[in-house]
Amino acid sequence: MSTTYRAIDWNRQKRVYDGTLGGLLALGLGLFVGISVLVSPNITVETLLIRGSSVSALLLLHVILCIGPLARLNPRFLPLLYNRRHLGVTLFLLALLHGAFATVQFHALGDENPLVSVLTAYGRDYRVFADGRINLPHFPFEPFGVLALFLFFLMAATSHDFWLRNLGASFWKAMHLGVYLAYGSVLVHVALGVLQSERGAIFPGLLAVGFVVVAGLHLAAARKETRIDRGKPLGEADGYAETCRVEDVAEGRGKVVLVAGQRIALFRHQGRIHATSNVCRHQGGPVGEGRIVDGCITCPWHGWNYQPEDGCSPPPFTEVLETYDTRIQDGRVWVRTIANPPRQHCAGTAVTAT
Amino acid sequence: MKDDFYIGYQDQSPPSLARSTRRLVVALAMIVAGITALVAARQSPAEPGTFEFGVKRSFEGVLQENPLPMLRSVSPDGAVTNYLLVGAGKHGLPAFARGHDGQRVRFQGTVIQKGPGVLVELNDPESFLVLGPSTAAENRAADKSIGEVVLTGELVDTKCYFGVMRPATGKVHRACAVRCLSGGVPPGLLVRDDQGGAVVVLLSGPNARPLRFDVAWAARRVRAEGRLTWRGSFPCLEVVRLSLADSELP
Amino acid sequence: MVVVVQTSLILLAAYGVLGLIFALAFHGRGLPAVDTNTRGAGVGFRWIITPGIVALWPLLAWRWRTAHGRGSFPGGPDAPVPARRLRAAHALAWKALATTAPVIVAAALWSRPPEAPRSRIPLPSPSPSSSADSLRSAPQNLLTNRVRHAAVF
Repeated sequence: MSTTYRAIDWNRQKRVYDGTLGGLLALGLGLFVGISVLVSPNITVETLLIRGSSVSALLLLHVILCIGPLARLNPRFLPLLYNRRHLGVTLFLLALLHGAFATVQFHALGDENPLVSVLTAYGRDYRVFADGRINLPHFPFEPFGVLALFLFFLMAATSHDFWLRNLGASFWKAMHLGVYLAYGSVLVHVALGVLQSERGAIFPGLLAVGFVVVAGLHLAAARKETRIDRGKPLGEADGYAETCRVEDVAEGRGKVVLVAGQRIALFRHQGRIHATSNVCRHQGGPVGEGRIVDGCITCPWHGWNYQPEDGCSPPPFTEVLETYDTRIQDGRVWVRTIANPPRQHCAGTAVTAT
Repeated sequence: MKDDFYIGYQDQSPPSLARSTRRLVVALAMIVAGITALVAARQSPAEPGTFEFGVKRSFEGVLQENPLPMLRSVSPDGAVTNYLLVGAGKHGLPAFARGHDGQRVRFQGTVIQKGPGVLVELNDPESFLVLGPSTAAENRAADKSIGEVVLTGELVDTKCYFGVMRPATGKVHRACAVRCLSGGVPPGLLVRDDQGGAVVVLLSGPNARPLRFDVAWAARRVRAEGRLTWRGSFPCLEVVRLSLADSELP
Repeated sequence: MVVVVQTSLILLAAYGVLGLIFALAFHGRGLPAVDTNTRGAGVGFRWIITPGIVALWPLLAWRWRTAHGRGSFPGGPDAPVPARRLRAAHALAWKALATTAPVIVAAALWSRPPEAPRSRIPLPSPSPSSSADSLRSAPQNLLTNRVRHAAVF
């Protein structure tokens, strides 16, 4: 939006969100430390810190990765999405704690710079093939952790809206896709690291369940989205494309339709049908899945507002959403395939009782 | 229907959404509790060991630099105790203690102990005193030679294994073991027996020389052939042949 | 290998130092030039974006230049989100991850070396001293005695 930036725009929901996060973290870490001390009384504090931070970070990463597709599949999960960046920053801090403690514990006070040692300690095993077979069990696992930590850092460091605005949403979103590479890297880090030492089926089993859940949700969401994008085109005439029935757009609510291969958001506000781009100027949220609140189109992701008549955010904000002319014909909404010039007033089409 | 639309910056979440979010958080709490408890309960327990970090004790005896740095201490009643010596951090016998092979020395150090094996970390150069040549009684060997053996086990660094790190084996600890061995901490061969017991055999080279080996073999399974000798509570192997263990090769 | 990593770390440190210097200049004059919303922003905001400035300073330098009308910056505040391309990227990323990650993880697990063979260490006999004959069953108090005994010196 367009007001003076603050470090964190605190509001009640964010405080509740962060409080819940803190509580869940305390629960997980407390249980981990407590049970570890019981089952393994000889464990050192350093080991507890390294393991506790990694287990909580891995769990948090799974939660973060699930939120996106869950919110796409069911809007009930949208409250989890609202402040997701705080989860990302917390994840980075936990991963940093893990990496820093592991580096100090395993690499410091030796005959090599610890940061160099992290990548070179058994550098000769950077061979995919050794002794005539695949060398996965001895392949260094540390670089995969370093890569993931680096990506978490980049994403955490650029999580403020300042970055979204100044790097451009396109670049910013692409950079934040790095979380998938980071997740893959973490999986390899775990598989080549602790799973080589810890035998038994529990840990690989948990990792597999986590992966199936995360990947399953993402693939399900992708399937749903693809189906929307591949919707069958209806009629097209005079530069207008036929979309849904008028009664499919309820008063005060939005509906996503496909016009010339693009998603367009339809809204009915005070008995008139308006059409805007479906892509929120903030993070690309699906505007058409939002509502009209206080006379403004409201994005379901972070609540960004636009006036239905001209697509402009109410002052002092300056974002503009593209608008499209509409007409109603035989009870169906037709949308012009070319957007109006930005900020142009467009009264929408009145719905007459049929 | 309007009431279940969530807007984060509004003070209150719609009641129906607040209820479902609360249920979600409870479910998440159960998942978090279940998974962390399971992971914590199923990690392999760390083996016992002591590192008296920050505590210094006095030691006196005859320093033996090769093949393994040890202090041989004889009590007034004639009992002999061997202490394996290491340096601070990931280092072997520190420079200030070198070059005094066979001499009586006194120093302060920190105990690292697992089972009957006691290591001393020499971390106080000021306390290190050379008292003079040792006596014949002190030099009388109390070693028990066993003979030729072939052992297979994990190559570990003795300092971590005897108590500085718990656990101190396996892939996760591998880089640390490389650093320790590279820094001169005496190498050991962790040999496990059928009853779940484990012994670390100290490894040395032939002709009273330290063992020359590839530190990248740390935490890997190796096969060592040589003559086994018990020096006090430490089994020591004078290695004539060292190789990666057969079970790791194709 | 070590030399490559050392050199990379030195280059990374140099990049970071340049980033810090850039961050000072950027906080001074760059922020209001590139983004009017930063006018009057507090110290908290400045702290929170500093790690990113140090990490991504070449991009911000580019952005700063274009704020003075020189050249153009791809994206930028007015560029729309390429929603469809992003959805395609998401789907592609997950198809790639869903096929490669399980293979690598499964291969890493299956290639774990088998359990080490067990062997027994021959013990000295008859035992020369108090402890060597009962290696595993050595009572803890014996060991404590030893340490205490050592401390007498």
